[in-house]
Amino acid sequence: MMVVSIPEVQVNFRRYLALSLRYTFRRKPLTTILLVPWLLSVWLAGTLFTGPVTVLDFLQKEPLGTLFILFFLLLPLLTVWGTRRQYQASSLLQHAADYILSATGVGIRGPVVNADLAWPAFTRADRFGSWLLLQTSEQSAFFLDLEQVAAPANSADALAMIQASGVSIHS
Amino acid sequence: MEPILLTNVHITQADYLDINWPIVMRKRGWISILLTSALITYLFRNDGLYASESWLYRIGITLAIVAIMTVLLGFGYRRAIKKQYNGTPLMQQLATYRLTAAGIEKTSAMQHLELPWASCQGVRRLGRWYFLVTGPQRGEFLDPACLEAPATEVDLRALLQQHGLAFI
Repeated sequence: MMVVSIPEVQVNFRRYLALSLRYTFRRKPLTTILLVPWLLSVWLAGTLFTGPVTVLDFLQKEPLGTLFILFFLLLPLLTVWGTRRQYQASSLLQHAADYILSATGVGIRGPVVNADLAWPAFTRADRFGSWLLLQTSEQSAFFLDLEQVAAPANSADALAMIQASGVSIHS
Repeated sequence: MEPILLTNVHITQADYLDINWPIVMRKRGWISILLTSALITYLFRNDGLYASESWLYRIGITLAIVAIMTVLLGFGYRRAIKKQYNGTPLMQQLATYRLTAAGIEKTSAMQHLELPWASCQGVRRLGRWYFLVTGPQRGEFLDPACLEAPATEVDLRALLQQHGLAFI
């Protein structure tokens, strides 16, 4: 039986952050609207620091507006901090694991988990470059690096196997 | 040590809602309060709805807004929890857990899972359930009603504590 193995996969925090953000924007395109008040806040903050109106004047005149600007300026920091906490809370993400794809499902072998999941357990897969997010729900996914597929198989074999199992791949 | 067995553990959509509702309220309740207060403040300042001089009318309108917001937000949160349950096939399966000195073994039609105790960060009491936290928004739901005799809930608690799992 054909088996595709992807050994020693580990996602570092920067990649995890990038993939999480791309996933969020793909699944919830409406979140891109948040970029509008964020850009507006950056611009307003810029004018406050360079223009004739000082920050203190603005705070006095528009206390709510100042709060609004502050919140959106801090939003990227809050996002990174939240994602960091998520990353550190997951023992699976902290350690490298071997993934074995077969006709029946996926095997995960690592120091903190030893699991076999049948294909129906997966709801969807999302591709971002060489990375594939294999999801068991909207909140949890396995991160596979298709560049690390062990020879003689290659990334196309891995994708073909997932597709044949009935899991839809989005890219 | 004899392994502790929990057979045919099944978490239904109603169970999942019961478990998550208080958590969502604790985490997101303040957003609802904030949104409602913001709406009332806005309406007050623009005095369209609040134009009447009658205090009875003003209180009535405020209560009506609070009621509508509560229903709308409550409905939204409940729908989100149900969607989460329906979108996770793994959770809907009947599962058997085997707890040994080495760790937890879970078997269902869709998965076989072996987790060493070190992968568990703690245990949370949620209604009658024991929720073993294994990651962010991830964990295993143990139903003491599914314990296989002669093991009892006391044994289960003792085992969890023996492996250093704190009740959080």
